[in-house]
Amino acid sequence: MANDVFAKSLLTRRQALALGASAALAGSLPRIAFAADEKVTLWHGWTGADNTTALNGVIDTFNKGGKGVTIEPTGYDWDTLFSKWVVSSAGGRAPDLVLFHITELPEFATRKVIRPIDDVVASSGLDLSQVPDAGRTGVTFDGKVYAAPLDVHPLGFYYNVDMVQEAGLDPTKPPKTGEEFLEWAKKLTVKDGGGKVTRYGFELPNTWATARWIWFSLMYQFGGTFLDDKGLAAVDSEASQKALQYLVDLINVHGVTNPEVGGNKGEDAFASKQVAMKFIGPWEVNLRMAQKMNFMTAQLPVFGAKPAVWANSHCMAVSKQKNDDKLAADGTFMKWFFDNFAAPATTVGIIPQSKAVRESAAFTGTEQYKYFKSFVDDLPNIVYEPLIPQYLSVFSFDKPTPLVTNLQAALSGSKPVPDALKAMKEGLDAQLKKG
Amino acid sequence: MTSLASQPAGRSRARRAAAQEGGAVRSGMTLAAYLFLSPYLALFIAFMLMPTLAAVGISFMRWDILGTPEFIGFDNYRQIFADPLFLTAIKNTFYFVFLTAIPMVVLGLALAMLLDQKLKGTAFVRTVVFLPYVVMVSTVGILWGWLFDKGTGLVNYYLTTIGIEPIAWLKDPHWSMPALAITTIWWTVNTNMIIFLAALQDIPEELHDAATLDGAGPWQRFVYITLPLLRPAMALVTALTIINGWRVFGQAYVMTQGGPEASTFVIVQYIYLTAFQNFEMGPAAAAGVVLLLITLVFSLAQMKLMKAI
Repeated sequence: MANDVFAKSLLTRRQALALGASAALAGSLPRIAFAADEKVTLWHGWTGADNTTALNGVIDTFNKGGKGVTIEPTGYDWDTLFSKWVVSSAGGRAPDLVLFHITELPEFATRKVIRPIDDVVASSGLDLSQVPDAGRTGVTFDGKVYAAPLDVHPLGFYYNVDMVQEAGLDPTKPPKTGEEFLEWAKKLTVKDGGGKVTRYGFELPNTWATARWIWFSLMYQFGGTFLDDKGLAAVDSEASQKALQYLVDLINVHGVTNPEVGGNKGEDAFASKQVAMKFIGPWEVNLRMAQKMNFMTAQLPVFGAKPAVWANSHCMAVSKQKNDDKLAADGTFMKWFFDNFAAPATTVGIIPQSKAVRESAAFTGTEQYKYFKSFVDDLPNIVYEPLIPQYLSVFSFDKPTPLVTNLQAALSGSKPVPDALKAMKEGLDAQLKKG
Repeated sequence: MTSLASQPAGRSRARRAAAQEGGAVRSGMTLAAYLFLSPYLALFIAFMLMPTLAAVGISFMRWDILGTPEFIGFDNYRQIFADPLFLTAIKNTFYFVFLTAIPMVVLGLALAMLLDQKLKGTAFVRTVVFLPYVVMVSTVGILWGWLFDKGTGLVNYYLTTIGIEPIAWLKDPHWSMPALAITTIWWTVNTNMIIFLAALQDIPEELHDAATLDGAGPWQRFVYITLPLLRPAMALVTALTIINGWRVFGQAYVMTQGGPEASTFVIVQYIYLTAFQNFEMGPAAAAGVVLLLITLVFSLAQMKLMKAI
């Protein structure tokens, strides 16, 4: 009897255990699904091999951090990224997060493919007070914050130390003024016995965007602005003419540069020793180090009345979606990325916007920092291109816009500077009035 | 009598039955033909015909992809023809077609005749000549970008060895389009060569043998036998070359981005940037329709010309 009771009670216990285990398993399944990481898609334009590796490495670290969010990155070249993004938004399949430049933000905000993120900033604790005013203004549109500003990449001054020493110049004292720069450029320009230039002092290519950035910096240094108070082009101003004439004179009067040297894809006039100095962003630091070049960087010389240097910045925004289900996950990654930006900044060659990150040992302790320092020093002088909704068409890299075509015409000598800038203004005004 | 009378009736019945059977066979064959064609037709309708018709429709709309299209009549056509950049693109593309068409046909034929010789290693050389065709446009663009570099490029290196001053091929507005034409000829002349080679191999040997017996020399055989028999291939090659010329894009986009000073800005780049950078689908579609009409007119004119020869 007792055995029967025992047997019964044992069975009951087994049944209870089985039932309990089943219940626990059944209960845990939805919990497992709930606890699974929220997948957040991120589209970016950092397609260079090193950049993609750097970004993916940082994202791997985040994904393994157990924050309940998994980032799935996809890289496209910038043009493809923008067209795919807008088309995907129209089809309701936009990525969750997108990384682009702050100068493009007004265009995407106007097209309503991104949403304001004041709520995400507040809930995630992303500390925008770490960002300089220019960066905060850059991500604000119609009084609302639309993106997290991640980095800043100003134009800087690169020079070949060996060539500078050979020319009898002191590489520890780079030129600070237009006169000093011209002196260096003349001494660094080398001619053969027949008077033919074998190396130019300075690289000023007539292709890609470099000439645009240099002229833009000089225009502000001479006291000009790109737009006037009415939002129309002010590129025919005296300051703008002075800036462009200075560059044209470097070619035609002083012979220290040639717009036909360097600039195209695949060409590297600096590494192939066709030029001794160039102005470009911090993103070339890693390339030059990998090439084992004996180079140094410095702040942009002041050619005009005050320092000013072209810059742009990457930012991360949230795509407009049908619902806000992933906002918390978006915010978790944005804050983490903003706070841990030293690693991607170092590998990509950009300067963190966050003061805390910029001054952290993770950034200042890197071997690249001795080159980055001049860019950091120039941060108070940065000028962003105008934050306008027509940015992509006005400042297009790959369309013969009024800006590019007339700048090229002035540098190649096919149009005098005043004519080129007058034609540029007319073309730009037509674009800007389009709205 | 009966048999005589019944004979025609029987024949006609047999003919009818045969006709019915033949009809059934024919309709079966027609069905089979359509079935064989259907995979291509389905893809053609889905990815060529429908988008083309849609583009014609969009060319009359104002549409930025995200909003609702709005009918605006011929405004997009007025806009593009008032845009100096579009007119520059038409002029530049015409120049490109002019620079490439004749060399592509003449060189294609010359290469085909050279490789039609029964010599040792011809098959290998054919492969080598055809190889550039399988290279991606971006690779071709970057490769020729290096070759054309003023300071370090191989092209200028060889030019200087024969006493010619280095040319800034891709940075001088006068040389940029010829540079794109040279790149394109190197890259695609082999397709013309293959078509000509196939046509050359279709010409019966006996015709050449007979002409040789009659005392015709190589030039006479080429003019009076080879060229007339190559006429269909010549028509195809010329049409394809001209159409492809008008559709040029990748080389210009990779090598010069339309510059310098808009000297290599072509119609397809105008369409691409208007559509996917400015998101103005209407003017982009209108430019596409204009391009379609241009290629159509050129193809029809070329076909008429070939018939007349």
